[in-house]
Amino acid sequence: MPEGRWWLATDALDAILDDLAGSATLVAPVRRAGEVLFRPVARAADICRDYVNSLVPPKRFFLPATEPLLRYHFTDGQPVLDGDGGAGAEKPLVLFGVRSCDVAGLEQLTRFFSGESLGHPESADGPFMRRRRNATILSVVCQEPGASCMCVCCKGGPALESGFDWQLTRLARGWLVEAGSERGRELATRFAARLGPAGDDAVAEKARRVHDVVERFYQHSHRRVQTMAAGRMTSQGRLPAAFWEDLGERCVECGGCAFVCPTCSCFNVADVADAGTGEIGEAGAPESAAPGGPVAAPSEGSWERQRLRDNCMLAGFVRQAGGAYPRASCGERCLTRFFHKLSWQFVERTGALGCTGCGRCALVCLAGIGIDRVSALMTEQLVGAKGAAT
Amino acid sequence: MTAVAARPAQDAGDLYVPRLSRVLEVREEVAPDANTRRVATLSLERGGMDWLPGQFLQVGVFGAGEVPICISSPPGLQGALMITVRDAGPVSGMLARMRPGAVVGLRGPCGNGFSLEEHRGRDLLFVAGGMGLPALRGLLWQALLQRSDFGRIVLLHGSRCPHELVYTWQFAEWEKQGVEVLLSADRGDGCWEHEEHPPRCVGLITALFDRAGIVAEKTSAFLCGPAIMIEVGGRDLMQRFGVPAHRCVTTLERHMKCGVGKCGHCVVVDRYVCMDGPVFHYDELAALGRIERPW
Repeated sequence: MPEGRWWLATDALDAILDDLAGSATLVAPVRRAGEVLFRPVARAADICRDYVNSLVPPKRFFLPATEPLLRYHFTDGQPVLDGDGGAGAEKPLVLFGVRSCDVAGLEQLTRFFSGESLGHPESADGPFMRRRRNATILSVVCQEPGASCMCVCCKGGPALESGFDWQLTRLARGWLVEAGSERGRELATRFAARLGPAGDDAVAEKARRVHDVVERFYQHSHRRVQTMAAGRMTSQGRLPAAFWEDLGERCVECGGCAFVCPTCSCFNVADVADAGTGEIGEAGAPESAAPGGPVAAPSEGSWERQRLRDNCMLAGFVRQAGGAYPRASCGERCLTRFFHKLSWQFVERTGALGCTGCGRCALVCLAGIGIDRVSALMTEQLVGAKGAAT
Repeated sequence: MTAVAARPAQDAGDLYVPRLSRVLEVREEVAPDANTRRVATLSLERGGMDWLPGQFLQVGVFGAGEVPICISSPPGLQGALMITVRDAGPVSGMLARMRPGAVVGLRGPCGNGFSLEEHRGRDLLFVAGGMGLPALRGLLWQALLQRSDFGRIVLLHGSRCPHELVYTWQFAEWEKQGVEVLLSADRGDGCWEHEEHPPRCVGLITALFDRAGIVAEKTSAFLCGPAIMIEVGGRDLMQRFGVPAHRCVTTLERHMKCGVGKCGHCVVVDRYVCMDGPVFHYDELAALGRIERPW
């Protein structure tokens, strides 16, 4: 019998999820206003089952759009620290129904925030890592490629080897459960009564189903992430400035691509007064004698230093005080984004391609320059350059 | 790379939690006028901190935010932790106007910092444009603390107009310790350019190169200043004077939010300026320049 694999009956899975919902926060896909989103659910019956993928990746459960990093207040005009944001004190989190592309994205975020990818494990991000350690990932292998799916190109699916605690594959009868971590094996021990042994036939059925999905993707989908060509062109700096300027002309700078990306994690930091009320209070408005004139530092109120999701495609991302503006044109910002997603340099640093092929940027991009289109344009450049040389 | 890890191991929990430090002393370096922003040097409570020249701090004004500011004093001097701040934006403006007794938040030291070891025995050429000098001052002092390890030490300092030169009060002390100081200003003020000492010229800082007596084989150059100076100055030194790229060192400046390689604002190609920099050698920058302008 294969190690770390079990067979699970359909109703037994629901019983396990109901059990988990009692002891932890169970987050699973639900349908809201026609869109599939990851939300906390009270019981297994509330979970949406017929979905390809969620509108946005579940990264908000690890990196919320807004979160406090520090709390402080002023006493007699002097700042007093009230500690960090306090993340991670929540109930354990169980994430069910995550697709492989998002699991791969989360794995990459974990390598990044743990400081591993930059070679600085001493500077791990506390809030992210506490949430990550607090979470159990039960991923579900895709059986139907969606219209924008491209994980096959990026080693982001349909099934994975690591990054999950349990990887579940729907079989003709029941589920195949694969444990990908110590926590996953402990979970199997906890629910040993509901799990049965997985035979070689179940493992073979999973392999066949995964193979079928990949086949259907190649047959029916026209979307590809041209990782080899795009990697070569970005990594070697072979794309002319005109290529990026043209891309910048098309981009409408909405930033949607990075907000829906499972591997994007850039953030801004801002000090916000009287946080919690949702409004910037009186203390939040620094006094200014005249527009642009001297501003006095605040000396009252309670404050939060918040991290807010940010985006390298937005114009103010790299603008410096004093006027220096390294990437002033949108084309240059496009270079930064696609270099981060596709270059070999970043593969070397982070251990994986910056794109997991979820295809969301292709869906949300108002200008039609998702990663599939851009990598295709890069391929044209590569082929064009070769054609000119011969 | 110069990367020398002198970063104290920080607990994962307190990566974003600053320690409080009081402003002990404030010295106005540049008085503000119609065209000039105020520049001030703040002496801060050191609180047992150690750092390398070229490293920076995330300096926070409570109620406003944090900004990356390089440490302008050498680690080897007892007691002093100094930062020099120009009123460039909301937070730095508040910092530049702080009074003794005010409290700031400090995180760091961040970044790799300079390594003087690899330049032992050489002539040191410091090229500092305007607010580039604070970033080099710690290194200059560190070199003076081990003066016998180096040959000539030359400081070229330039700014847009004479009264924007910083640390003018310290030039005499540096000269006494064997630093050749040469000054430049893009335009004179009718008076400054007629003074004799230190030697000076009206023009760009690169005009001083010819008067600095650069011997390429013996020279290590440290450049810091506005982007255009880093680019043109470095090219001049390498191409016209033959200083090898691996002995031309600069520090890059970027918008930063976290200082610990997380927020993504300071990325240049695949380098995080806050962790992999801010100190870079020109040969490394040349490689990055094939993808994106690093300055």
